Amino acid sequence: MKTDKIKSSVEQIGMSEQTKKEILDECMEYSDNPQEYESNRADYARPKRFSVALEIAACLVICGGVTGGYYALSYSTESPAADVVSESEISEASEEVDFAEAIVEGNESSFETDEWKIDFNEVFNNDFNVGYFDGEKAERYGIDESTKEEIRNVLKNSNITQKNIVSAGYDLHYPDKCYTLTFSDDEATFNIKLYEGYAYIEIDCQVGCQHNNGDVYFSPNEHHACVLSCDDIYLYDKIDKLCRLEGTSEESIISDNAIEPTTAFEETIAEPIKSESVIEPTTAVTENSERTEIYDRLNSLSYEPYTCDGLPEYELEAPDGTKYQFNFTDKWVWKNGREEAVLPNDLADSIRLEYIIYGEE
Amino acid sequence: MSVTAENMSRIMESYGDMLYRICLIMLKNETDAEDAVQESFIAYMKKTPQFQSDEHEKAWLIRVATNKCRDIMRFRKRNEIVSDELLENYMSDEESTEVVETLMLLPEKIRIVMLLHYVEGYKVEEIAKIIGKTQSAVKMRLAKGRKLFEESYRKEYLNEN
Repeated sequence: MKTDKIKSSVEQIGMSEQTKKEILDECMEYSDNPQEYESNRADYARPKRFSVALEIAACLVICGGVTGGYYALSYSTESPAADVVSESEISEASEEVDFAEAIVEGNESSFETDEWKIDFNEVFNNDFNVGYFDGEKAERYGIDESTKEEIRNVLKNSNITQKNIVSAGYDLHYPDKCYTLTFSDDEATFNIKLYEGYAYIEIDCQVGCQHNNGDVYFSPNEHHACVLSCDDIYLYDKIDKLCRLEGTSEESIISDNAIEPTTAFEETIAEPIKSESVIEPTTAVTENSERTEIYDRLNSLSYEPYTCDGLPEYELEAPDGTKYQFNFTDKWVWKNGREEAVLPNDLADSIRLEYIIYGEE
Repeated sequence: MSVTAENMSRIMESYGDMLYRICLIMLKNETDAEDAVQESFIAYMKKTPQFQSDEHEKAWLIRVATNKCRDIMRFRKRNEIVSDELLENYMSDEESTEVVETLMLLPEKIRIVMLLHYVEGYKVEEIAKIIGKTQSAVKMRLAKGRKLFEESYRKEYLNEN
């Protein structure tokens, strides 16, 4: 076990005296007015100008009830550290409101100016996130650079205008502080690689929009964001849950039918696809064999004595009476409350698909 | 009330290296790590917080520094540096390099918990307060971190599957 060597190894790292002196000197330059430091150093500052624009745009959409609001794709300017550090410790860049004013005016042509394009690019120099509200804290998923580039290219070639941008939403945990922006485009869907939190674990998901009539595609009208496919069933479920928040019962039913975590939508969707076409019926025979396989795999995992006290999120009882408890977030399985094992991703996905998404028969 | 040069020197002497190694392992880039330390000190100057004890002060600085690291990761402009190149100036022996490299391979949220526990000697409940998570989440991350660390080390350096 090398963990006992971690301390002595890491403690070999340190700053040179010269570096320490330089840091101290620079700090002391601001000793009388440390606030000046922020304005002189905007390397990691958030683009406040755009955040103000989005805040106002979001308000417009929410107040105007433009779309009926399923919010999945969102651009958030909130610091990822907000759950740890106090709000005042998060730096704020200076505010510039000219772009925001353009949105308030609702003048479409203003979005087609050079000014708009500059602001538009600014969005993609930062994370474009999917948020999920889980009781107390909003989780965030950033989109990777290649996807941003893909989105940029699609937008560049499609003469996108204000109509194609669904400024939809707000952070469900901090409604006064967060801003979201959803894009829609009839011509493309985006296969999004999400980074989970700040651990930067790549997860492939596809997020699209769903029409009120049940069609699933990106549409400038009556659209609702939904998850089209996602390799990680658990994440799929979380984002799906987000998509359903605030939807009407009718819309939720449509989502139930149309959302299918398979690869059915992995190819770019140019034409609307009827929701019915993505429903893959599951038969009792299939379910039985799949469930048997799940129990066989659960039984064959390498269990060790129980060492930690994470909370189970789901429980199953096998036909032989063995009780399994699962934590899908951190991928653990507990057997009869005494042993634990790492829950493989594919097995976690199978369980969620078999028992949670389709539900117990 | 402005912070005196003497006070900042004391902070640097007491916590500078500790903050720097946390930031370096989190950010994998020396310049970014120095920036994070500097920004933590600036935050200290801005707040001039009153602490109940040295431990309280240390925990506050760690908390601010880890948040600065996350800000930098989020908006970073510099690339991570490959770990053996990054560590060659610090490590005295090959085994230490391997251990730190393995630590740097862990996911960020597990890495910080491992650092605080195994290097800074914080208990689970203390780490929970510093990073703003529940104790069970910290325990979970430590358990997972130990497992991942051992697996990665065996695979990478002992050629075990």
